[in-house]
Amino acid sequence: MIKSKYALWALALLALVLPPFVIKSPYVIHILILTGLYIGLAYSYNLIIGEIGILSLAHPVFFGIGGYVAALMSTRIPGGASLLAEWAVALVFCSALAFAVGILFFRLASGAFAIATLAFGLIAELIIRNWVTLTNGPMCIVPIPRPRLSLAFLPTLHIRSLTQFYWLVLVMTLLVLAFCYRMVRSRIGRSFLAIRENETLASSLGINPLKYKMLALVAGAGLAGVIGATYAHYMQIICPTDMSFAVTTILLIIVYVGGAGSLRGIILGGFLFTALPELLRAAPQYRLFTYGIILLSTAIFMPEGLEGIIQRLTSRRKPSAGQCPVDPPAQQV
Amino acid sequence: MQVLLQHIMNGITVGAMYASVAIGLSLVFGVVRVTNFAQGDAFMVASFLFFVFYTAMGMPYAAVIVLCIVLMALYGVVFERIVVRPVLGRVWYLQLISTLAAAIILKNGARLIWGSTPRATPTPHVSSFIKIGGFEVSHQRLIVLVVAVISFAALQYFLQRTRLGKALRAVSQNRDASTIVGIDVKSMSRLTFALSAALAALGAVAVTPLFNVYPDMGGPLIVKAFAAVTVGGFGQVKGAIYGSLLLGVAEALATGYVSAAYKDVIAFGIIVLVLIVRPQGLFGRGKVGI
Repeated sequence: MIKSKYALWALALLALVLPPFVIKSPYVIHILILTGLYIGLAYSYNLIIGEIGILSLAHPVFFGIGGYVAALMSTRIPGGASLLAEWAVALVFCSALAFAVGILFFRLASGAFAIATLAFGLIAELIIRNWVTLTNGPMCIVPIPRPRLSLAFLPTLHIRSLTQFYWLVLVMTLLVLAFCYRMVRSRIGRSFLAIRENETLASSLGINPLKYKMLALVAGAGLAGVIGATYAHYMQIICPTDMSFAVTTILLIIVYVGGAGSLRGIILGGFLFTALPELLRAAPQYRLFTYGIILLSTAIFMPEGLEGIIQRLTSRRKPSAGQCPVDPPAQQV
Repeated sequence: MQVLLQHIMNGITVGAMYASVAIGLSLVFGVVRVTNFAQGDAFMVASFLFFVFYTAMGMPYAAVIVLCIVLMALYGVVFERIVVRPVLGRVWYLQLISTLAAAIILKNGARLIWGSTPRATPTPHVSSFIKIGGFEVSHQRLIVLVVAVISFAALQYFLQRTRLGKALRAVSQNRDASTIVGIDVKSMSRLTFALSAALAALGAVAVTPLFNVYPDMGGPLIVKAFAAVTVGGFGQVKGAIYGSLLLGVAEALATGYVSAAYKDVIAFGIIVLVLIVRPQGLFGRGKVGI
């Protein structure tokens, strides 16, 4: 059992490291990079909508603002800024913004909170679109120079080629996933779950719902900002549409079709909904329509998403599961 | 002075449009306890029906009004059956996701059918004017005013005086007790969706000739309607009407005197301000009940 677990980890590591050596098509590497970015973004979103269960519809706003932070820092500062500095600024700025959103909107009931964040998203996009002197408005900021990583004691690292970007995104995504996973599996994550399942009961146990909701929202937004900064450097362009509701739609689908709260479900969802449509070249005008139908069917027919299906498939092999819903009485010694 | 009056008149027209969506949002939230994200898109669908029957097929205005209202009431029933009923017992966020998905389907479906270019659907009433006390008002805006006053009065009468309306209010106050006294909660929820979609249709046939029709119009509309409902007090029909008119006028004044590009920021600013100062809404009583 333990051996097979190690084998699985080794296999996963190999699958992550091999592509730049094996795959010669730059298009496939490009898709993998996008998929990595989306999985990171979706899992940071999952902290908010999956783990603690508050529906914020403003997640791409933080992603987009992170992108604009990187774009402005690298085009407006003479000589450009280090990617690490941009990450730090994006992290702090997006977290602070999310904090303000939380203070204003957490007093609303769940559905009202969702619409309030939707309004916040529409307004943020509107401001970015109209503040032409700063953001270049609908003409987008382009071209954004390739990033450089400069640490105090190491030589400056310039990231130029597709392969280098692959490594950068891989490391960043793994860090984001590890951070979120660690959070979810800690005392904090268990408090998230308690609040999602029953807020009143959770606060009767001394868990402060407001504190943890704020933590989830702020952490998710900060990570989205960092991912957005990387995305802007990779695409070399950032537009107001990068923070539009279409992005929210795709993220919601990845999280809910994959299975809210499940890492493997979200990774699977990320591959299905960023890589597959690109590779299959689905007619773009039908894409969002189809996504809507998939989302509706998920809500109606498989509320637990792909994770629910995986669990049903794997538990069928063990005959004891499902047949014995209650724990057998403990043996008295 | 005349300019000011003109702006206020424009604001009332826009406010009536917001109200036709906001009332539906309020009714559905009050009776079924679901936030319907697709309410703005119901208005969009109704506007496109108006475009098809009136502008493209050239049917008479009165017939189109009746046809749109009947079709949209049917739409409400179908919407409730497909999108809302299956998720009623589920977690609240699945209910939100379900109506959100419906909104995405409607918007992109409309884009597939009619494309995303805005279309004008003018009636002759848009370009014929009447002079009242020194300023000109188009007949269409008068139609909006008359339709709004009559339909809001009729709705109030229906909710306050008729048996069916009282049953609706009973369900919004207490579902279980309503079931006990013999009210069919399921058919009440169907009625609520039909009513709210029909109201959106009424708004659409009156207001659409003044503006353009396009698939993306639902998103901004639902946000405005929500702002209006927040201002008026959540889940209350009267509050939704007052809130919508207030918002419409505030936006018109902002467009006239500040900047057209940022007029949408007004809606957001109003939500934030009301939430800080008076979370139960300007006209709210601090509890839900239509």
